[in-house]
This record gives sequence, C-alpha cells and structure tokens, in this order.
Amino acid sequence: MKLKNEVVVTAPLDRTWAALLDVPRVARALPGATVEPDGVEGVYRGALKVRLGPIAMEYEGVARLQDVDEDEYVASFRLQGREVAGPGGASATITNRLVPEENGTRVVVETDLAVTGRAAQFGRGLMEDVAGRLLEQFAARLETEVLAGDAGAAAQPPPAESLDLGAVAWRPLLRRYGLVVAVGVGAFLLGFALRRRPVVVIVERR
Amino acid sequence: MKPAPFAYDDPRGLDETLDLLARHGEDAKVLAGGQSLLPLLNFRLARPTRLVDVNRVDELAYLRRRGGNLRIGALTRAATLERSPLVAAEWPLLREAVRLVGHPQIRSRGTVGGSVAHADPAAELPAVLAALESRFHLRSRRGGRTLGPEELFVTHLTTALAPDELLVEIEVPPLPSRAGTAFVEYARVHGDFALGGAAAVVVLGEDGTCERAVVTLVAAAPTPVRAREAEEALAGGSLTEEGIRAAADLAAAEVDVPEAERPYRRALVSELTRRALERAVTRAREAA
Amino acid sequence: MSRPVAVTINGRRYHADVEARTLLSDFIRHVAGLTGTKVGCEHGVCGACTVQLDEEPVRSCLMLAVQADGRTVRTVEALARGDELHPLQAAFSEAHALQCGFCTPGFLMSLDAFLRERPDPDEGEIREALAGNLCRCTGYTAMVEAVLLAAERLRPAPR
Repeated sequence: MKLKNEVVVTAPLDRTWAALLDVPRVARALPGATVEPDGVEGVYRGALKVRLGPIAMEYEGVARLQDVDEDEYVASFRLQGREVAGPGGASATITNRLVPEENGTRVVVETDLAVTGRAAQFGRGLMEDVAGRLLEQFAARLETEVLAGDAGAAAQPPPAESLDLGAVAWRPLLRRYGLVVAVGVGAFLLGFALRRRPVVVIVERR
Repeated sequence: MKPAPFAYDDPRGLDETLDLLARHGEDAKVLAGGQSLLPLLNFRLARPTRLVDVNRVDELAYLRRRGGNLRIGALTRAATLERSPLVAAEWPLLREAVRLVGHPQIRSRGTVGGSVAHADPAAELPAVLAALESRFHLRSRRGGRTLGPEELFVTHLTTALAPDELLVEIEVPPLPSRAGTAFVEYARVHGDFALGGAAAVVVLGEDGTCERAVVTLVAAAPTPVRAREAEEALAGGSLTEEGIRAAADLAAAEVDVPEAERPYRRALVSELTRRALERAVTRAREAA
Repeated sequence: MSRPVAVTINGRRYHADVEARTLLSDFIRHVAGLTGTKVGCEHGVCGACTVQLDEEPVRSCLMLAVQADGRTVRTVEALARGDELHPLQAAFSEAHALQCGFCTPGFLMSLDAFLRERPDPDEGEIREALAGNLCRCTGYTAMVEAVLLAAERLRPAPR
C-alpha cells in the first residue's frame, strides 16, 4: 500500500537535508528510537515494536539508505523486517523529498509498504490504520530531530514507553538479544542452584 | 492459529472486576463479547498477559429507560438492542445501525460496551451513540467519571479509558419530538467492515425548517467524527436538496484517511451523508 | 493454568481441564470429539465454526471454552435423528446446496436458528441470513432453494 505524509520543518533546506541522510537521527524520529550500525556502510539493524490499542506487533530487521539524489533532494530508505513472533514480514521503501518553502522546508514522505503474514491476512484491514498512524507520528517528529541539530545526535534516547496512540520504538537488535540471553542464563543458573521454581524471564520493554 | 497463553479471571460482580483492574492495570485486557478481541488474540496480533472476562458480571447487562434516558448496560448484547421494542420505538437510529453490525452470529455475543471500548472507527455503534450525544459512564476503584463521545474516542482502537477503568453504562438522551434519524453505510460485502457511513439526526422547528442537525461519520477518520461544519450549514435552513448536498460535501471534507484512498472515500461519504440526511428529513417531516 | 470446564453439547455433559485460551471450537472438536463443526478462518469471518449457544447462533472460534462452562451448546450432530435427516439437511441434499460440504455444518446451524425466528422467509431475507457464512463451491443459489424447501416442510401444515 502507498501512504503519503507531509511536514513543514522550520529549518533551511541544507540543514534538513543533512539530518535526513543520518539514519540514526531519522530513526530517532520514532519515539525511543535507537538503531545500531550493522558493520556494512549505510546498513542498520533494529527492531520495531508497534502498538495501537490492543494490537502489539514486533518486527526485527534492517534499514538502509538506498539512493540519494543530491540534485533534487530526494533520499530513499529501504526497510525489511520479519515478524518476531510469527511467519510474516514487512518491507517498505520510504522516499523523502525536500521542497524549499518560504519559512522552512517541506518534507514529503512517500511510503510503499508491503506486509505479509497474519497482519496482512486479517479480515479487517488494520495495516492501513497502523501504518498511517506510524507515519503521521514519524513526520511530526522529524521536525524535532532536524531542529535538534548535532546536539541531538549525542543525546540519550528519551525513556521509551509505547504511547497509547501507537508510538513506535526501534530497538537495537544486538543489544536486546544480549540482555535477554544474559538475564536468561543468569536466572536459570540461579534457580537451578537454589532449587526453586524456574525464574520467568520477561523481555524488558524499554 | 490459537491465542498465546494468558492468565484468566471471570469475576461475578462489578466490585470484583474493578479490584482486578486496579490490581493488574496495564497487564489486563477486558474481554466482553470477544467478537473484536478474539480475532486479534487468535491471530496473535494482540497478546495480553491477562484477560478479565466480564461476561458473568450480570449487573452490567440491562436495557432500560429511566427519566426519559435510555440506559444501556455495557454488557448488553447487540442482539438485545436489535430486538428491543423500546429501542425500536424511541431510538430507531440505534436499531437501524445495530442491524448492520456484522452478522447475527456476531450480534449474539458482541456487546454495546465492547464495541464502544474497542473503538474501531469502522464500527457502527460508536458513531450512532455519538450522533445521539450519548454519555459514557466509567468506573474504577478511584471513582466514576462520565465522558462525551469526543472525550472518549481518542484514535484508532484507543479510548480515554485508563487501564483500571471499566465502561459500565451508556446513557442516551431522548430524541426531541420533531426529530428524524437515519443511518447509512457501505461495505463491499454485506456484513464486512464499512468503507464509509453516516448517521444523521435532524430536528425540525415549528416552521418546518431545520432547528438543528447532528451528523457523525463511520470509517472516515481515526474516530467517529462529528461533521460540525455540515451541521452548522443545515441549522436554520429549509433542508432543500441543494442544501443537503452542500452539507454532505462539507461532511466529506472531514474524511481523514491515507491520501491514496481519499478521493474515493470522500465521494462515498458525501453520497452516504446525503442519503442519510434525505431519509432523516423525510422521517422528521412524517413525525411532525 | 488449566481450569475445569463442563459444557453440555447436544444434551450430553463434557468435562475437561483446559487452558483458558482453548477455543470453544477446539473443545467441541478435540474434547467432545464432535468434528462436524469445522474450523476455517479462526477470526469470525467465514462462519464454518458456527454452533448454537442456548439456541443462538455463535462463532465457536470466537468463544473460549471456559465461557461455555455450564452452558448448553448444540452442534450439527444434533440435527439428524439417527438415520433421519433434519428437513434442512434433506433439503440441502435435494437442492444440491453442498459440494465439498466443509461449510455446510456452519450454514445448517445458522439457518436452523434463522428458520426458528423466521419460519416464512422471502428470498431477500434468506440471502441476508446466508451472508454470515462463506461457501466457495456452490454459489449460494442452491442454498436459497434449499431453505425455501425446508421452510415449507417445517411450517405447520395449514388447518
């Protein structure tokens, strides 16, 4: 499905452009977002936790900057993710186009989203609502990220808790795995040693 | 596909229910009719850690008129609303809309409170309850509060209900004497989720002009939206064909869906609103 | 995690300890062994799982078995009396209203409840009543015929 969102950022074109090419900063436009470089130039790993009302879906995957048109100020990103708890997945091409405006820069976000798996098979077309909401928030927060400037890059991500309005949180995959494994192994050994009931490991929602 | 495991409580009384919600808050999801929640559970699109099943809280299932107002207990089944002679006589808009909720098998179990709390923008009941300017009574261990539709419905599948709060009753005021109502919706397949819909309440003045109008839209925005500009355009007017058409276009301007969908959904909502208004006006004139 | 549940299905009580998340459709099929009730979409759209709970048609895939504790359920197995088909079943057979038969139990339970409410339906009402169940084989026309036929046979004969 195709979605389109727009936001006018009160910053000049070149500053907006610079922010847009910085994938971690763009990812931070999603509340609590942090992304980790994958080792390959321009490729980042992350996890996406989406909540809307009772719905909670989790994807993990890769985000990369796909192509950059420096003449026309268009940059496209490719996101590919698999459902954590199921067989489905999602892939998206997000194209950000900048247009200079009188009082700033208009960022036009066009998303081409394909979803497979249960979310797509579900009889009620939820994905449109979910994706629409997601991109609305993303566009709104882009301004904050752009205006934050370089100071923002060094700042800690805000304490993330999924908002009721369907906020989205990117998680660095490696960091999450590490936490779970460490807690799991530690708890198991502790439980075993103390001959108590096994400790239930809860994946921490940050 | 089966639900992921969850803890389960089935309280018998309201106090017990509120205690459970107070204790478990965020971790608990209320299960009423289950016609919206269970599909999500079966597909594991929702994985609550605890379900508080209120189906045996009999004190929440009632349908009565008191002091002129219709008081719908949150656990009232859609089928009960559909079959009620009281509702058919005094609040025909509710009956007209509830008959379009899914299929009889869904209406046997689905509840009015559940539909409201689930807040699917394509649902019929939230929109007609909003058109009738209903009040929603919430309870928790902390006390009770009452919200109007615009305060209650926040966005897709999201209401202002706090994690420890339960919707217990929907109170619907009586319709004035010279009122006509209508509900119209469109879905590609009968019983499917609506692509668009409109609920209209038209009240005539003594001279036959429009004293006031209320128009709410289904599946047009993240919540059931009041088309206030359309309502203002109709107020005081003589409800001509052109006047209604113009109001319908104003209503269509409220449509807030992804851009690719917008032209079609606006055209759809405009036509459905026009039909709903025409019918409501006809019925108001017959009643007068 | 398990709870004791007792459901009366077709006049017989079935007891079991089940997880709360066990669906009524799975209780009917796996605990009671009544596999006439089918499972299709598991999200309330296709109607293959339709049974009757206290005489009302419901989607058994959208109910938890624990919710049916102490309640009365009727499934397609209750329609025929020994070798004698229910008039609806006979009508379906005569009118060729089934091919693969997978959707048929769901249709029968929906229509049985419908005919009790509307013993003399017209075609429009029948089509509306069919709308809650999906069939991929027949195209529904033969089902309308079958319902008209069954309605005629079920109606009390004029005096």
